[in-house]
Amino acid sequence: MTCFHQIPFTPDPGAAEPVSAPLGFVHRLRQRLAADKVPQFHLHCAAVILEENALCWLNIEKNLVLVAEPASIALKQLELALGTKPGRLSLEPLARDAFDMQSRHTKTTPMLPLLWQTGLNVLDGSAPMPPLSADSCLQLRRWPDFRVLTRRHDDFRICALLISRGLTVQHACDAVNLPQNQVQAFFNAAYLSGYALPVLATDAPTIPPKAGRLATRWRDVRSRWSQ
Amino acid sequence: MQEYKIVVLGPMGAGKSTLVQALAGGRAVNTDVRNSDPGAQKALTTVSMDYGDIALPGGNRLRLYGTPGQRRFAFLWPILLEGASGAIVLVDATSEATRNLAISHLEAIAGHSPSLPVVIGLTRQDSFSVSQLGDCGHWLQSTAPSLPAIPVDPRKPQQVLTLMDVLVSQIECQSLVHALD
Amino acid sequence: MADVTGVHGAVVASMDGFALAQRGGQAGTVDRLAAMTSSMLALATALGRELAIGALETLILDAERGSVLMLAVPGEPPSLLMVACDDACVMGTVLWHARRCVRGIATAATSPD
Repeated sequence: MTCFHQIPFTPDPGAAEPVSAPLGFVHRLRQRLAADKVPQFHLHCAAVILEENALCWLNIEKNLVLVAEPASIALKQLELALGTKPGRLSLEPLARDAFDMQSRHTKTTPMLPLLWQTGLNVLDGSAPMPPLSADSCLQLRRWPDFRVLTRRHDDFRICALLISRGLTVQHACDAVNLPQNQVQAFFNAAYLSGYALPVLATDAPTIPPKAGRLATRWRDVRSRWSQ
Repeated sequence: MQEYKIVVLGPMGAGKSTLVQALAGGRAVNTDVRNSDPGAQKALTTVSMDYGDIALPGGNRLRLYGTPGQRRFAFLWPILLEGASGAIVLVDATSEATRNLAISHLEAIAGHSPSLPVVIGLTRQDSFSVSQLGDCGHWLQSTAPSLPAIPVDPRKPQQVLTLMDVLVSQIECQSLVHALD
Repeated sequence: MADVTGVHGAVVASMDGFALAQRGGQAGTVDRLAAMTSSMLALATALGRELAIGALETLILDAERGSVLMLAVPGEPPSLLMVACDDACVMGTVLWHARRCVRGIATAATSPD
């Protein structure tokens, strides 16, 4: 039961995942993450492999991840690979038993928040994460799980915008008046974790002068209270 | 002079009156009476509304209305929602029963103004177990996937401010989105 | 109260809107009326507090085709009386009877049985 409907959007899967290209790591991952919509892609567990080394193990069904030790290095390698050499990453199916066995000596953490954070860090938001491009128009399928978003208020603003309509990074920056790398990092994170999907591009929006008056006044009052 | 009206809904005991008081700096008007309901965990309950306001720069005003949560006061919800700029639905998300009760509040908003910016505030998060968090996530996904849901302790001012930040972002982006169309 | 000209129903409600007793009126509406009465009196009490005019006693609602009286009933616990009248009623008479009713309810509530 959904009380609130979103403005209907037209997904454009061809925009960022051309049919002719081999199915890359990110595409496979996103397919598995969106498995609630597409049952035949359902995959319970998978291992993320970089050139024969497992960086982490995912339990997609239960939203859990195990990161290979030392975790900081594995995550750094994942971020680098996603940014610069995604072709060397692969997603391999894993049996549940194998995941359970691995979980006995590896710390378990929630998966989606980790994927989100990884996406934020890729290229430090300085460029789109492959296969996204600067022209990619993304819209949020749904509001990210409340455990995923940190308390960075600006992320909430970008969410509020992208939940309603698809925009490119540039148009989103113009609408919420935030730095490009911050918005790009958000796009990378939302795309990697499967919350955002590419939609058909829209025309450049004109920002009305009066939009955001309440927001400005509220932030003014609020900043005084926080002192 | 611009006035913005925010309405706080949700089942009894979620912390609506506490939240309105917190934002209005303790000066909110309330209509609490003794709770005669044997099933209720608290002594007082709102039977009409809480009202508080916040002065904004430029002579503008933010008006906050807390509502009574029980179903027998459902007639008040559309009355109080009239002219609202945004709504907060507070849910004590630890229990399946209160989550189900919150659906009537969400439906009341959707029935009255389906495009109203709404934020769901999840209370009692500190007492959640991991599996309860998962249940909560599933409930949100099936009931209101396009609404933001933020953990909040209505007794903690910083968290209440964060909740309001998200609602204000929703209101801001909605006016942007409508202008863009 | 039921015999007073123009009165077509009365409800006694708890402060938090539960119906405690009913006379006359329509069968299915008593719960709503009790809730509404408690909301009205709570808001009126808040207004009275704001204006510092003391404890609420009576709230009178006049409309085109009738009136509604709502009275606070002291006691432990306190309760509320709502009396609905059509336009045949004489307000002064109804008020007198309603106040007598309030005293009766208050006494009954505090009596040993």
